[in-house]
Amino acid sequence: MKRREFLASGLGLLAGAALPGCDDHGASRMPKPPVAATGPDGQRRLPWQNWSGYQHCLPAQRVAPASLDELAEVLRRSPGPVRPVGAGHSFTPLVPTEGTVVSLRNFEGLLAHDAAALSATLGAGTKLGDLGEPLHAIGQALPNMPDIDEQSLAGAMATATHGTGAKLGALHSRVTALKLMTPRGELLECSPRRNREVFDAARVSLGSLGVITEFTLSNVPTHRLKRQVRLEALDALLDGGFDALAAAHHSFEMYFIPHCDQGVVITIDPTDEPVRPRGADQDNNAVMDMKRLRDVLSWWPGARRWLMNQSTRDYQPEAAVDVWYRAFPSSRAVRFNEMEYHLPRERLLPTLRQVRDTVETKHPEIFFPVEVRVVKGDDGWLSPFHGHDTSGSIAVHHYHVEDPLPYFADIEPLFRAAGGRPHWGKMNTLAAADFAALYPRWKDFLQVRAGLDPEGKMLNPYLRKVFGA
Amino acid sequence: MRLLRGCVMTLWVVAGLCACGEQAAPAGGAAAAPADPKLAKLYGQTCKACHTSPGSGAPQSGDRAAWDPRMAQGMATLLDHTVNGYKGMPPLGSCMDCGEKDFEALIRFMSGQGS
Repeated sequence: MKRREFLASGLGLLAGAALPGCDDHGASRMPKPPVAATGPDGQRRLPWQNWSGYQHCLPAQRVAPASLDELAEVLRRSPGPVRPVGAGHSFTPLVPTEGTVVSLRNFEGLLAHDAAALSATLGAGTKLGDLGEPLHAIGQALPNMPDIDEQSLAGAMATATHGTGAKLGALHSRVTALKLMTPRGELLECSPRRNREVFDAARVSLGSLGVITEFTLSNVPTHRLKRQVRLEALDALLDGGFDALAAAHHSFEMYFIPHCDQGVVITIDPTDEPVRPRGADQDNNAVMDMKRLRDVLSWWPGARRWLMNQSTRDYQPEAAVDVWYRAFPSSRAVRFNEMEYHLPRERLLPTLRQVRDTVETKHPEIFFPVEVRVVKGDDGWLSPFHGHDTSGSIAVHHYHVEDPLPYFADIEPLFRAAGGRPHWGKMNTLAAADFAALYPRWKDFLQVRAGLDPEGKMLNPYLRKVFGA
Repeated sequence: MRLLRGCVMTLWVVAGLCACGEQAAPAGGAAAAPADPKLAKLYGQTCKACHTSPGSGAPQSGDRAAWDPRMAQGMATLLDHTVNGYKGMPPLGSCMDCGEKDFEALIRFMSGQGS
C-alpha cells in the first residue's frame, strides 16, 4: 500500500470514529463592536475596528487631513482623545477613542532622497508594501522588513515593528530624522542635531506625542535576496541549530508548528543570482488546513502528531530570488490576534521550550505556528530592543474569531519570567509600573510627553494605563 | 510559511469533516482603477492590494463570476461585511476614514457595476 493510500485509509477510520462537536473555542466571549449610529449629517457613524476585529470604538469622527495645515487644525480643534491610525494592524488598543481617529493616508509616498547619503524621506502614512518600488527606483533598499507589509510606516515605527536578523535592527533603528505635529499644532523637525530628546522619544512613541508626518531613513543600495525555506528537526534546532543559523544568515526565522517534530526554517541572504519569483503564496490555505486538523483531532494529540509528521516527511526545500521588497513579506489573509515578547537573547530558546510544552500539553486548540526571530538592539527610549545586543522574539497567534485570552494568559508569564518586553502593538497585560521597570529611559520619555501634550489630548484610556497618567 | 501548504497536503482528506472551518476563496482577474480620482486614490490605498491579488482569497476586481453572487446578497450585506470585516477582509477594508458612500462606490466598482 502506498503511503498516501495508507494515510487516506487511516483517516477514513478516523472519520468513522466519534467526532467532537463543533467547539466554538470561546468565540461567544469575543468582544462585539458598537452598533453604527446616525450622525448629524444623516450618515451612519461607523465603528472603527482593528485588523483582527478585537479592538473597536465608535469615534465622534474619522478624518483624513490632506495637508499639514489641516492636520494642525484637527489637532487643535477636534474632540479628543485624538488618535492617529495607520493600517489598524496593532492588537493593543492604541487607537480606540470616543473622539477623533486621524488617518494618515494622505501623508504618503517618497518625498525626497539623497543618492549620495543613501537616505530617503517618506510620508508617515505610506504602507510598507508601497515603499519598495519607489525606493528600488532610486537605487535604495530597506536593510530589513517585517513579514507583513500591510502596516503604515508610522504605525510600524510607533510600535517598534521589526523583521528578523541578528545584525538587523527594527525599522525605527534606521530613522535619521522625523517631523512631528504636536497636539498644539506646531511642526517640530527632529533629528540627532535638532530637538534631540524629542527625536529619541519619538522614534517609538505609540502615537502619543502628536502625529508624525514623515520619516527620513538611512538605507542601503538596492539588491536581490535569496529566500530559502526548509524543514529541520525541531529538537536539533533547539539544541544548537537555531543559534548556528541565526549567526550564519543575514535574516533568519523559525516557526515551531504545534504537534509536529519538524520546525520551519526561513533564511534570506543577499545574492547575485538571477530572479526566480516565489510564486503564489499558499500560507493561508496551509493555516486553514491545520485548523481543520485541529477541529477533527484536537482530542487525539498522538494521531494529530503522527499525521503532521507523515505529511511533512517528504517536504522539498524551496528557494526563490527576487528584489529585496518581494523577499520579506507574506500574505496573511487568515486573521489572528497576537502576543509577542522580546527577550534577552540567551533566554530565547529555554523559553521557547516552555512555550512548546505549554502549547502541546494545555492548549490543543492552537494550530497557528509560533514565530521565533532575532533582532539587533538599538537606543530608542521606548524600543523593546533598547540596551540589548540582540533580542530574541517569540510570537504566538490565535485565530481571530476565537478567544485568545486563556492561551495568552498561560504564555505571558513565561515571557515575563524571562525578562521580556512586549511588542507595543501586540496583546499584553502590562501597566505603567511594569514598563517603568523594563525601560531605563521611561521617566525621560514621560517628561518629554508631558511637555508636548500637557492636557493629554493624545491619551486614550489604554495609553493612560500605559503611562500612568 | 508557504511550505506549510505542502506540509499538510495530505490532510485534505479531513476537510469537510467539521462545519466550523473557513477557506480562502479562489482567484479571479484584475481591473483598472475607478474613473473618479478621489475614488481611484481610495481604491489604490486600500482595496487594490487584496482585490487584485489572487492569493489573497478576496474576490478580484472585475471578476463578475465572483462578484455577482455576492451582489445578489444585497448592498446592505456587503456593507456590513465591509464595516465589520468578513473572513480574511479586515474591518473597514483598511480604509480608516471611509464612509458608507465611499464603500458603496468601491464595491460597485470592484463588482463591475460602476465606474
